[in-house]
Amino acid sequence: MESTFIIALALYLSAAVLYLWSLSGSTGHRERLATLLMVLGLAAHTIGIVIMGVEQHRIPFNNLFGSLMFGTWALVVMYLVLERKYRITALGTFVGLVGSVTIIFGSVLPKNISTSLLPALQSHWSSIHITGCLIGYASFTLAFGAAVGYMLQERLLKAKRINAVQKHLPSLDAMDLLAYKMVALGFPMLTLGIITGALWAQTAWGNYWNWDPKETWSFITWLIYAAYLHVRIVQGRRGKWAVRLLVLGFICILITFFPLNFISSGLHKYGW
Amino acid sequence: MHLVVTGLNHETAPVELREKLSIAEAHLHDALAGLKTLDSISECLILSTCNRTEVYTSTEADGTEITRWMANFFNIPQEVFSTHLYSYPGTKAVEHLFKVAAGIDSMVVGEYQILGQVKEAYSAASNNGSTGSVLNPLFQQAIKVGKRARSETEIGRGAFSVGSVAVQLAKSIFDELCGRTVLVLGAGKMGELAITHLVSSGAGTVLVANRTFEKAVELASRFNGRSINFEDLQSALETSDIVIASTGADESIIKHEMVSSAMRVRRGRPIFFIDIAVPRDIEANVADLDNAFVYDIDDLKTAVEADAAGRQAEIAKVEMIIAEEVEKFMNKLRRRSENT
Repeated sequence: MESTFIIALALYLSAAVLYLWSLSGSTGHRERLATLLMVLGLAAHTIGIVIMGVEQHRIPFNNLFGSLMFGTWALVVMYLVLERKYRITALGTFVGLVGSVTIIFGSVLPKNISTSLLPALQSHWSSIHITGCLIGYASFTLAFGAAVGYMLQERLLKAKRINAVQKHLPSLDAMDLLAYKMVALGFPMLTLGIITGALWAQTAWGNYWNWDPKETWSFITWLIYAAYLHVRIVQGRRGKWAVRLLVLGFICILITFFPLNFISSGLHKYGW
Repeated sequence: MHLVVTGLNHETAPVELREKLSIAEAHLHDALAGLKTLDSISECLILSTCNRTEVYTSTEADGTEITRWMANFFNIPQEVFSTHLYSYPGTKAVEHLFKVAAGIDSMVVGEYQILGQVKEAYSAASNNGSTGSVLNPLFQQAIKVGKRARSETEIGRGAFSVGSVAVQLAKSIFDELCGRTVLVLGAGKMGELAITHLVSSGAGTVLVANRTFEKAVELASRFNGRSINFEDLQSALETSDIVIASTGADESIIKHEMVSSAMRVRRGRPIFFIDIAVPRDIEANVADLDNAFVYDIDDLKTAVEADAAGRQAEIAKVEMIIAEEVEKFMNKLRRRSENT
């Protein structure tokens, strides 16, 4: 199982390097090779998850490592689908790097599943809860990637640096729209994840909401993306302002996902 | 029987001479017919553009015969132009044509027009029946080389003019230009040129403001646009995505506060300002506003020059492709002569 993830890591990393390299000039064959490496990386990644599932006899995301692997998998799948539709290979560098970093980070995480919490984790709501949250976070990660691209393009245009990178990055409008679409997909997913999480908490612990740190932060995350959608749809505002909210939202996701799993003592602490 | 190219181009001859030695399309037929009457020549093709006049022949003689023919055809003494001529035989002729087709022999390196001109010259000659077993494969391959150079290297990439830089930048902001509103200040030639570029790239509504209203009406009508009064500038800024400023005014016309209040209405939708007026029409600190992108004529020129420098750097790669293709062609020619 682990060796397949290491193969995936190597492929994602080389894809990221190739995507980055193709920013310096627009020779299409580098991009096509990068996409191929990305697809092969995804194949190895998928096999790793399947093996993990077979070993655990369930959908394998009941610990931090498993959920990281699944979230990253969803991110790469979404990116590759989008890459086919739009000219966004500039984002490939970002996705390849995120994929590599999560696998490297995952390699130091324990792979066992804590047996003491298992009864609480067994509910039919759990799969929907975790899947919803993870797909939501993967979409927001892509929206963040588009936001970073937006800010970079904006800087280059303002500084009048009309170089290869500037020409290679998608337009401001394209990235603004892509980010919006990703939030429009991710937001209902996270909402679904939070609601089913509450239902699951009710069956497992007898309480819908416990305000444990993870619940609190995912609620803050939810509020920020709700604010983004409000600003975008109701106020019709876009451009730099909307992009800043996406960065803020992504920081919240990082807090929800990483430090809280190490320091928190709440109900979501698992797998250690 | 061997291949020879004889001619002159922008590097060897001044424009006054090139003008005299150029062959208009209407006379091409006569020129080719004249060349064919020469006994030594079995195939011929003429490539005549404003930057070059070249005669490609499959002949038993050398270049001097073509020089004599040119003196005769143009009715100009040989001494006037013979020092400006070049004549390449065999492999060097193949290499030269491939360079021409790839755009690296052009005055503006990488320009695309020349490939079309090579195609036209070839079809004119082949329709005339003056090409055969040497020039046919040569020109077919030259056209392929031209395409290959542009797809495998960056020789044809980037902007060739201020207008195309403006379009490229607009597309980096708006993705698609269709449906975008273009506001033009001033009804001068430069402004018109910039709109032409933007409209042919898909830009939608055109608004024109000019001190003399009649001129605004006239320019607007040419692009199916609408003329507006200078007093309505503020509301025009709220709806326009691209602003081209080219008035002859001494002071700036678009002020910081106008744009900043327009931006509040626009809610973050960017505006691309192209200031081609000297002195500038747009106050310098407009560029400090979020979502406002201001480029003046010097910025655009700098971008064109940078792209030209980038293309210059691609010449070595194109030359490698050419070397490969020349070898391929010479091998093909050799194999065929062995077979016959």
